[in-house]
Amino acid sequence: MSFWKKLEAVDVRIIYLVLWIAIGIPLLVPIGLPLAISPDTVKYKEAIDALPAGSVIAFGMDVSPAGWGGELGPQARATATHVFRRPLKVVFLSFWETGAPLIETAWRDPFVAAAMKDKKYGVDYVNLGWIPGTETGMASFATDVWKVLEKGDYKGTKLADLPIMANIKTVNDFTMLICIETGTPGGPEYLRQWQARNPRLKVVVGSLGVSVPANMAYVASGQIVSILRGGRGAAEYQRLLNIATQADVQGSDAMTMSHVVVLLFLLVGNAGYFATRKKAGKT
Amino acid sequence: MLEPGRVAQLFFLVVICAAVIYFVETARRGKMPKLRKVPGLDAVEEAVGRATEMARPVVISTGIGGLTDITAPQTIAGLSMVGYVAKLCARYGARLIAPARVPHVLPVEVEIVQTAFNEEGKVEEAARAVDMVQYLSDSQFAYTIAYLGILQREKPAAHIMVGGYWAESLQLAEVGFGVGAVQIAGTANTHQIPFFVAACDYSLIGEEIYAAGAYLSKDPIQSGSVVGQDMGKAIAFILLLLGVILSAAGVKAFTTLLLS
Amino acid sequence: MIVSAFASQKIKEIQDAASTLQTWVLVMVNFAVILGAVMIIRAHKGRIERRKPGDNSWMFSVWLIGALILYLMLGIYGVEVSNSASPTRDPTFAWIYNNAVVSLDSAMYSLLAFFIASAAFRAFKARTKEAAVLLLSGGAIMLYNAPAGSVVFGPLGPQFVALGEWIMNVPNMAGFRGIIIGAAVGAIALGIRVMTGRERGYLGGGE
Repeated sequence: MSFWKKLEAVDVRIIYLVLWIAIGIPLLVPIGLPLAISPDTVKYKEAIDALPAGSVIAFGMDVSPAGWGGELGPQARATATHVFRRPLKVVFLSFWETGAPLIETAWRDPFVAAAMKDKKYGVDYVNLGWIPGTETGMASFATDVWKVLEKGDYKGTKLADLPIMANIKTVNDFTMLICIETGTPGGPEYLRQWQARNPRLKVVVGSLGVSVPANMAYVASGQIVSILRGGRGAAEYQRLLNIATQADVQGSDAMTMSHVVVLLFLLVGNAGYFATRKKAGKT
Repeated sequence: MLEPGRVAQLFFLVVICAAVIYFVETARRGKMPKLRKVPGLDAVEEAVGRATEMARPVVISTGIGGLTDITAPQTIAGLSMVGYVAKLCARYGARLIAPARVPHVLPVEVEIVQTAFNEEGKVEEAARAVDMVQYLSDSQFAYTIAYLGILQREKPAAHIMVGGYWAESLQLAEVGFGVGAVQIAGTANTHQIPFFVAACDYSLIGEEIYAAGAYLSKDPIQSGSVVGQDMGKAIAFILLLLGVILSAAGVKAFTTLLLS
Repeated sequence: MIVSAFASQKIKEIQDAASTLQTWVLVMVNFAVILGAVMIIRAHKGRIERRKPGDNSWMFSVWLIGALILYLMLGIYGVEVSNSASPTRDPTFAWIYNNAVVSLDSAMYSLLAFFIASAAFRAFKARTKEAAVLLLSGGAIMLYNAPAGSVVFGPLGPQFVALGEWIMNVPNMAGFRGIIIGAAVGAIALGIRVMTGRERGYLGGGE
């Protein structure tokens, strides 16, 4: 096989090996590549900054473990740090059974724990745990919170014993929804079931990079105020809040390296394709 | 009486339903609508034939969505495809493997496969339908890794994926390509369509999966509903055009009317 | 359910009826989980019984059944001990979830990076004009999404970011809006076919 033909059809194992090395280098040896902050992330932060003191926000941790590591975990931790730094009432919940345990995992992050040090459970924040029913559950919750949560909160404490829940009866009692979403149910489902009932509800979404293009339609229409774009959005948000650790910086460097390697392989493959086609044309 | 903000939505739902019912009635009276060719759907029989010749199985899945949420239409479309493919497998003698993720879809799928084999006179194979439809796991990635194991071990000649897919779509498609299967895939999840287009031989985009039942059965009445569906899109297009022109002209009344 | 979506929230009777129906569906669907567990145990029990000498894969079936029963017991214990509906109040259950399930799921998801690379390498060849447009826009968006992507362009970085935003906000959004609208209308048509009994493929075919 000629050199150009080999370039056109590189063995996938070589692609995987080079990608693995390219991602591994920044994770072992920090590079510290620059990071430009995108307007969407600034808007996301400003939306939370603009909330009046005492606002009640719903924090939907609608995640699966899969996206938690690289993209949604950093988004959730950064957002939780931000909301706890502000004088807000935060109601954590999840319509994914896999998301509910990750709420307390997020609270254990050092920056989140520091921000919630002076907050009182049941007064300033609460964890309602998993609410079953996916979109059906969202609709039920939107119309009657107390009926859906007869079991109480995540620990089994009845809502009557939680002062924060005293005035939260329907979705109309929330000022903002923060949705960290893996997939379905997620942002669009909240828009259909919650925002359709409370048009004044501001919605911000942290999503996986792959879901951003589909969510942009809702951002353009104004239904979603702003969106965190996957791992990059998380990295930008951490920089804005000054909570980016060495590991976070290395993670975003690894992300850049992976994109660059894929692009290089695209160039190599196309160079091989055009050279092979040119040779075939000559012969 | 009506919820504020939903009046226009109800009106257009009624209009679209009326369009579908009108064209169904038209088809019932003998005016058979012509549907354009959908290469992905035409390739299904060819793919099953390939599997029969190569003595390799057909793997078909309906995605990871259920029958009780917003993805139910996609799962129903996938189940229609399972019925069609199961009939072809019974007719040509190809082995069928149908990995399932959602527990409440499982008995439906078993029933479909069993009925398909019975209708083709393969009563013995029909009794083994419960082994053909394999429940793997309710967890997305546990299901995915088990599915990938099936693809690697069984090396199917045809791999058909129609339904609601999420992050596992590309993994399934890439491994399916790696084992040399002809792949036909379709989903209405917009964020996964590009992956299927890039990795599969044939892809069904968006509402093409909903038309599959009508297209494959060649039932004039179902085909009539597909025309009604297209009329619904035409109505949406006219509204978009009107909205763009009027908004550009500074007329807000139209947008206000649609939001009423 | 359709009536409850459009009827006023103030009509309590309709909303309560819809809420009751939703609860019934939830209960039925969650009972199906038991069916799934039974099917898994049945399938893997069969593999253990059919084991052949020299083939040790049956041990994975033993492990699966053991892990399923152990985790189920831990979950039930967690619910009983905490008197809440959350099994993860049990520390062992939570530990296994955080250290095994989360790690394994994240590892599986991370495989996507490699599959995207190989799929992109195969699919993004400029064989036609359309493929060339796909290649160029895909490449631009890849760099746009990379945290330090715009740095590659040096002083032209801001213009490159503007190009990326234009691609995302104009052609990409137009395409996705079209697919979303088409899929929604298609779902309505399918719903009518199912409700009027014209769509029977999912019931096993036949007239």
